[in-house]
Amino acid sequence: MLRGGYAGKILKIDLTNEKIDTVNTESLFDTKLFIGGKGLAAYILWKELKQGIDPFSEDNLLIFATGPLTGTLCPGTRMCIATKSPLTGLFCDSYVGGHLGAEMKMAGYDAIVIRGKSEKPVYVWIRDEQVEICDAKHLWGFDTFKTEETIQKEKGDNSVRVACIGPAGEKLVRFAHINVDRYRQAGRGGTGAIMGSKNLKALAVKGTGAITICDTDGFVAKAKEAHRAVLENEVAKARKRWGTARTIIFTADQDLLPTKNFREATFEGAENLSAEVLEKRFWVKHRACHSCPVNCAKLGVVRHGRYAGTVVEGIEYETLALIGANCGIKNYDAVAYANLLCDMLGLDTISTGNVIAFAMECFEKEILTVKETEDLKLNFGNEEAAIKLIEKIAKREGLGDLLAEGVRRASEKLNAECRKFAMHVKGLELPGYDVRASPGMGLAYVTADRGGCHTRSWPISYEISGKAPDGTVIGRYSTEKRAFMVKKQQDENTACDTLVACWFLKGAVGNERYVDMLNSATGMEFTTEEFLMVGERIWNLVRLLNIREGMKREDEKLPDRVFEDPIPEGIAKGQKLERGQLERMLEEYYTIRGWDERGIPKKEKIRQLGIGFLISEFKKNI
Amino acid sequence: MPTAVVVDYKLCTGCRLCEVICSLANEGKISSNLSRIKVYAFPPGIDVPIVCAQCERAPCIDACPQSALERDSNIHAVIVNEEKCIGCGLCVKACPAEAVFIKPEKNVAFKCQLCGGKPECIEICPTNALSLVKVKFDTRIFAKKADEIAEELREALMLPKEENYHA
Repeated sequence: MLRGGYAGKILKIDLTNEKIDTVNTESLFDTKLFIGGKGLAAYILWKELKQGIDPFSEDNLLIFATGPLTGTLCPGTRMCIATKSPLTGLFCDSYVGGHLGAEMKMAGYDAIVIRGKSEKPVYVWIRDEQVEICDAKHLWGFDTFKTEETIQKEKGDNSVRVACIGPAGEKLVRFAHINVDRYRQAGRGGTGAIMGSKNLKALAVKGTGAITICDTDGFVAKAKEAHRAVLENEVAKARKRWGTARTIIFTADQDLLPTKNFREATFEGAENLSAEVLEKRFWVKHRACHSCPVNCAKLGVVRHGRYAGTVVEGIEYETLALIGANCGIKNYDAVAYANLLCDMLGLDTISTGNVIAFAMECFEKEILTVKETEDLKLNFGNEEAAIKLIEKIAKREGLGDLLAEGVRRASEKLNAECRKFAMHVKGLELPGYDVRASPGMGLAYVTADRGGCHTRSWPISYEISGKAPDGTVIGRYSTEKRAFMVKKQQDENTACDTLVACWFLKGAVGNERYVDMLNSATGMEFTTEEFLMVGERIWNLVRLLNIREGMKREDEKLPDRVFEDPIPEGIAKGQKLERGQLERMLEEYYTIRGWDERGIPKKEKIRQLGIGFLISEFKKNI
Repeated sequence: MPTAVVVDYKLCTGCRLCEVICSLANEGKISSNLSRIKVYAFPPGIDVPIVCAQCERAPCIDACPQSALERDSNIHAVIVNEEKCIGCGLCVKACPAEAVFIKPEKNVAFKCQLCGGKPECIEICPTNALSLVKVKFDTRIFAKKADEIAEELREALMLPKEENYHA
């Protein structure tokens, strides 16, 4: 029996036959093994996702999962949206802040599991126990802002929380996002395209109930202590003032900033895109997700020039890096407008920046000509062309139709030459860190469970400081200790993703305080070691799931560019990765993980993690 | 002298920690519906916390047919006497800020009572948008509706009326 933290129920919706079920949270998964959030979503996908299906088939599942600390006093909690990704064909968990997770909990649900496909456009309306599948014909074609606003107006309540897709999700753009609370996005992996494939335009939630806490006094004391720790933490303080935007000067200085499709690693326009410029010229207000003291979100307004009137939250580092530097665009106002377009049309800015930069390189190499681009002059730095291309991608018009498939599929349809600079791992476009001057990040990308991703581990800080977490002195471009660092961070981050705690506060809050809050909220009795083992357990579960979906060791690779084209300029000039380096790190990583040489978890590892019962289920499936 | 929770609206980030701690401290559970301070969101990105202004000539006190609302003699907050309250809702209607509510299960009025002099919302607010201020009243009513405040804030931040978007 769940005593607090959890809402206690999970909502299951089958859109094919309009069947709605509410089940006890504990009937679907063991909270002691998987806690919630990513763990809950991964285990349900393991149990209920049919093997080998097309991600766009009606059999795919879309799971909106909260954790036991979502919506509580724990500083900075979010929610997880999981599915089988249309980009990678693998497990995908995409996270989003805002207020939807808290609203779901107050409506009484730990998670919402959606399967099937509606014949016509619908949206799901949840008000506590009342759940309806509503006609969305009038919303189809709307951008995300208009969709949210229309639903709120219809319900006569601005506090209705809406997750929705824009035209990109409707058109099954493989990197379409799900938009929440106007400016928050579950960006990565194409969760929005899965909504589109189900004819599901939106999920709207109003919760009038309450979240209960097992030991209120204990929990409040621990949570307040965590808040103090965050407000005193230097990294959190910087983030509170400058958001993620501050990273761009750091990566530009360190030769880590993807520039002109990852050809260069520093950008002459970085200063124009810096947090200092945005603070002076653009930002008007700080904003925060539910229960977060850090307020890393910044509301900005462009006041002058052709993009005057652009109002958007951001610009986040990843958008500055991928749509800015990676496309050679140095005007923050153009990037702000592109950001707004992506939010409204429903596109992930990381993948969008990648496919545009890829098309620009193809254009400069004459792999694409004005015939294919319909007269767009796709040179690096052409902001107008990039903005037009964003609209074409969202609507799958002309060249946009090819790019909407993501950089892996687009490069496979063009020619062998361009595959070398299609910057993805396992089909997921790379985020804002060049790996040529960061071997650890290379290992982080190839082993990340959802494909090329920076949020599972980010060993860059250790590489720059020259010290591994165990105190070993390491060289910046060496491979020593990388496997150890990457595994450690992956396990820790995955444990936090069960709560669901925001990545930006993890360092300041620390594992011990998370465990204290988890225990006092739920009445469970985790030690820090057990909590971290939950992370490792889920990492292995997702590994098995990905292997079941066909992932092979050969897929754990980086684009040829990082081995062939040395960094042309900056402090790491001449630096590139060697193929042997990646092989060595990967072998060491498999060994530390207790996986065999093919990257498959060994039986004794699975047993040691307390999920031996998965072995028979796994065998049955491969 | 009366005191009230005063809001610096420009500093509010919309995190709603005030709602969480208010309901948790006063009702023992987390619920926006049970919070005495409420944060309203207005596009694009405006957040307006609404909490009782503890008006000197309080319309809620005047409206109550049971004399269930009274001024606390120590901290001068307007407090609800649950014994006397019959849940008629006239105080809810009378409040110009919509800062008095009816508790669903108990059918009694509830509102900010300044947590006995140390409001929890002020302690938790991570941007110091909330503070406890001694108010020298001059018989004006301070309370205002959220949408009026949002409009003022939109002007103060010079947000454009229409967003520039023409895809």
